[in-house]
Amino acid sequence: MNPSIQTQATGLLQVATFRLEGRLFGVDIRLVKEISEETRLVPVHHASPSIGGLLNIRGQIHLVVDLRIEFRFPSQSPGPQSRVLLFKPIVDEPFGILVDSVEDIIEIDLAQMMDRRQSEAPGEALNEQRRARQNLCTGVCPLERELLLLLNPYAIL
Amino acid sequence: MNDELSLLEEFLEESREHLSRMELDFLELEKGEQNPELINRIFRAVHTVKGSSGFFGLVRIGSISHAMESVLDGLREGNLETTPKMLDLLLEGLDQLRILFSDLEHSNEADTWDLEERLRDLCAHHAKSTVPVLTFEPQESEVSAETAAVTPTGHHLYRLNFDITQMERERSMSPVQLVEHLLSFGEIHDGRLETRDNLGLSEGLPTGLLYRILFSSVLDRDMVAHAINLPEEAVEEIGREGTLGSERGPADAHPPESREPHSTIPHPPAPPEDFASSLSSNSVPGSASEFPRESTFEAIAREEPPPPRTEQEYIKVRLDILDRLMSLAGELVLVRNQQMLRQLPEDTEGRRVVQQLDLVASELQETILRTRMQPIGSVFSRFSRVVRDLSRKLGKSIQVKTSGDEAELDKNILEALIDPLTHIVRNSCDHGLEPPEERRRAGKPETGTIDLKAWHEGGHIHVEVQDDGRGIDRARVRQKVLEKGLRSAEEVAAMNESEVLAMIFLPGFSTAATVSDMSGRGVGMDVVKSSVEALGGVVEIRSEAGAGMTLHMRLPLTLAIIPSMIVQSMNQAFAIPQINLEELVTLYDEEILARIESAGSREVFRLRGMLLPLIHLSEVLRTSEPLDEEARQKSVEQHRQDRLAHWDRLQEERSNGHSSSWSISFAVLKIGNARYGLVLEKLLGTEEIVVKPMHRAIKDIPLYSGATVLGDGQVALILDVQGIARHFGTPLESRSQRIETEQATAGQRLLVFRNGPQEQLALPLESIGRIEEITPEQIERVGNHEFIALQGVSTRIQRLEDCLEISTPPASHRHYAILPRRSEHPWCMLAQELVDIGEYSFELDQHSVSHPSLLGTMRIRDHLTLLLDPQALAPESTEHAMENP
Repeated sequence: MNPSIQTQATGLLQVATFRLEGRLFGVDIRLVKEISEETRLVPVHHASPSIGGLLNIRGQIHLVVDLRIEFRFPSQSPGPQSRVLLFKPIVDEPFGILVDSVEDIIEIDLAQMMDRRQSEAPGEALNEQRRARQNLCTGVCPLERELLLLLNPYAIL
Repeated sequence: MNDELSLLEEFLEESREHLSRMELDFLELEKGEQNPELINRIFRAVHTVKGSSGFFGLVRIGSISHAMESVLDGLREGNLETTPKMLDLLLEGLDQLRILFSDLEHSNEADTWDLEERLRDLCAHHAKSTVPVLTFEPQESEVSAETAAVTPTGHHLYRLNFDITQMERERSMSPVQLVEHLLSFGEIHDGRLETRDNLGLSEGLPTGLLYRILFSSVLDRDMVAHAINLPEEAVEEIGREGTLGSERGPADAHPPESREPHSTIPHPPAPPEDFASSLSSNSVPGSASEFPRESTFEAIAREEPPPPRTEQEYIKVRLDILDRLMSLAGELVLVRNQQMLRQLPEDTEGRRVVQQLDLVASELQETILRTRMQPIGSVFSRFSRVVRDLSRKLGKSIQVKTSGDEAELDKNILEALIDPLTHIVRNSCDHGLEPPEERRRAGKPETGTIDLKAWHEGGHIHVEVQDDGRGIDRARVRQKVLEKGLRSAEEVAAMNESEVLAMIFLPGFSTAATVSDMSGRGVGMDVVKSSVEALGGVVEIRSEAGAGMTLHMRLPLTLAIIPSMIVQSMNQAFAIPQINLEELVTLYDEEILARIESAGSREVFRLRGMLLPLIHLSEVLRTSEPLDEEARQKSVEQHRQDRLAHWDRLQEERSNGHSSSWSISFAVLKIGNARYGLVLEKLLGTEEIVVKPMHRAIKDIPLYSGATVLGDGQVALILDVQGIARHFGTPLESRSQRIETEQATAGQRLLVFRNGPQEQLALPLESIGRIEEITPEQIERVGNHEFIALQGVSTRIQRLEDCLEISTPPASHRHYAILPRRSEHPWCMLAQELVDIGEYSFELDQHSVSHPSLLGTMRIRDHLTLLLDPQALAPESTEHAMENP
């Protein structure tokens, strides 16, 4: 179930925004548990490349996904601005995403959002990966100065 | 809705307990125990199940339990006697109930008529007739003398039949309203709910729900009919003179045996005087005293729990709450670890407080772990039944004995043991134990015995299965192994007795995994072994041909918090569970070149006559794909080059006046019988860690078996010893394979000494640095530890009787302190008497006494001597961890 995506696309949505490689992304704030400044991850060798590592938050071990890798951006060590967004248990077992920097929480009007989820065009089958990434990005919302890409946390893992 | 569900769950839970208890009782009954209390107990249990099932509309369960109840009632009354056939049937009924309980939703669809019929036939053989079947057709039936007696004079006695659903629908009158109405012009003596169809409650009120009432009133029949708006046919007048045993009504014409099965469902015959009353108590005045058998719902209301197994009180706790408690206890351990690290040496007061915290946390942890503990008796008890059935089937006579039923195990371990134990017991029944004639010829008692034992010892739980059957023929084992190509002829010839037996656990050996009797799930001895090992335990088998076999399992008491060694590689910490760790080896300087050899794709280390394959942890971590032969070859060659280069460098530095040293550490890890050495970058220490499961996205990675948070807050992954070996791909050798057996028997220089009066001990001479004579006065105590100043250095004393279960030396004014040649921190062990130093040639036995601090045992000067492992004895203390964070 996916509360952040409304097919009728009406109403306002509060979105936590962050940047990856300069681009602005956002997730439904209702799914975010907390934002951690601690970004030193313990690597998990043999895991898939987009697994950034493990993070200990108050005794609980969280799996952190390196979204940069997920989006095929060049890999980069976390910097002073980097943060880890941790998601609520309703999304999945404890996990979060590593982002370059975190910005404000904004309200967007879903009516303005362009649904980027594509259904299969006739005669063309999207391959697994592309489809997965399509599901990750569920919409584009034009803001004042740039576009906001809305992400679906359920599709991250 | 939720309430109904949990009520159903409770019913399920309780019924299961009743059934388990019943099974044991039936077996008791079979053994000849005819005591009335036993029979009563079983009766009550069946009665309860029957009654509650009616409440939930579980018709089939109800009718089977009813049939069983009749039999038990017959037993109770003394009308029936237990026969093997009866017990078979009762047990069959029990099994059927179990099956129905496992699928409640569809239980009403099951066809159990045949079983019920056979159960009823059992009851048919007694003189006192039973009541005829109650069908929907109005039928005159007998009424008990007591009912007749209680019906006020001048009243007519009627039986009224109502269709409740119809009433509800057509007249919107609920049963309660009906009863109230009836009470206004008469008296109700009893009521009974009957069902016409197979029904569940899923579609709302069931149809065809009949309510029959035994009613008396001054009113005439037609007036009664009118008053309750029923057709006259639905009101049957029952002659008050009709009583059981005196006058018989038309039902007499139907002999009890001829039950005409009704076209819809057959109803089980109701024993006289037992109408299941179903309404609120105010509608059945005076019935409690007249009907000596309590109504079903009264029985339920009385909440008869199954008798507790011991005298203790119990309370039911939800498992998820227990799990939560466990994880909280784990968190507390983490906090305690953190606190211990932060402790400043000067802060003595704080230290005391932390020690208190430590004690409390440890005890809390232990106690909570015990909540998940269940007595092994709960598993043992099921074997009585299994063996009984099997022995009947096989035509053998086998009995089961158990001891140590109270020994408690973690619930998870217990559940995981069920399959392996079942397999072993079945094996004994099938193959181990002989048929009676063969036993007689062998001079054994005709009845074979399977002994199940359990006990606690040394932080572990031991479980043993022993039979007095044929035992295992080693020659046949050897033959089979050769036939199946599991080992070569030379290997087999070189094995000793116990090694031959151990081959039974080889995958591919199992012949017993025939589908016929076995669960067909491919449980073989190798699976037994791997199951036990997956739980962190060990299993071994002993046998004397002709005398039987003993299978011994040793299991850890708990799963969740484990002691482990923390190591470093690739700049991060990893944990290796102690249970997989056999020893730590550190090689220095020349030794590295001398004792590590490489050939082709294998890099090995010579460890006391065994060639130990070496795997580099950092390499395994770095390569995400499992290594193939070529990759291994490359890696081995690379390491060899590195070693040579390092050596050259070392020589150079030394010649330049630098005092450099070179050391390589590796952990000897074990998987079952196989060993390998894992080369580590650095040893960080030991810690008791809380095992946390891996996130589902990474839990399939074979390299890890879990994760944990260390005392300093770092996340450490727990290494899976087997996963590492598989990844590297090098074939592992089992301990029994000695490529150069001469090596093992070559002479070694040993120091032989005594500590306590009983045991003789030995140490490899080359591991000893020096020996000093000391007096007890020189020993200083600091807290729980002892120290002694030797050559000006404060040396920690390790008393051998503290590490091993050996005798304590008597007080004396002379000891010897033995200092090992190499150690991280100065320490020594004490000896009372030095027996000898010399070169001994011996056969090292690594099987009879197994302990992590021992390299093995041997015979020296005609005494059993324990060969100690100095490295394993070195005190690994948290104090050191604290001083050197």
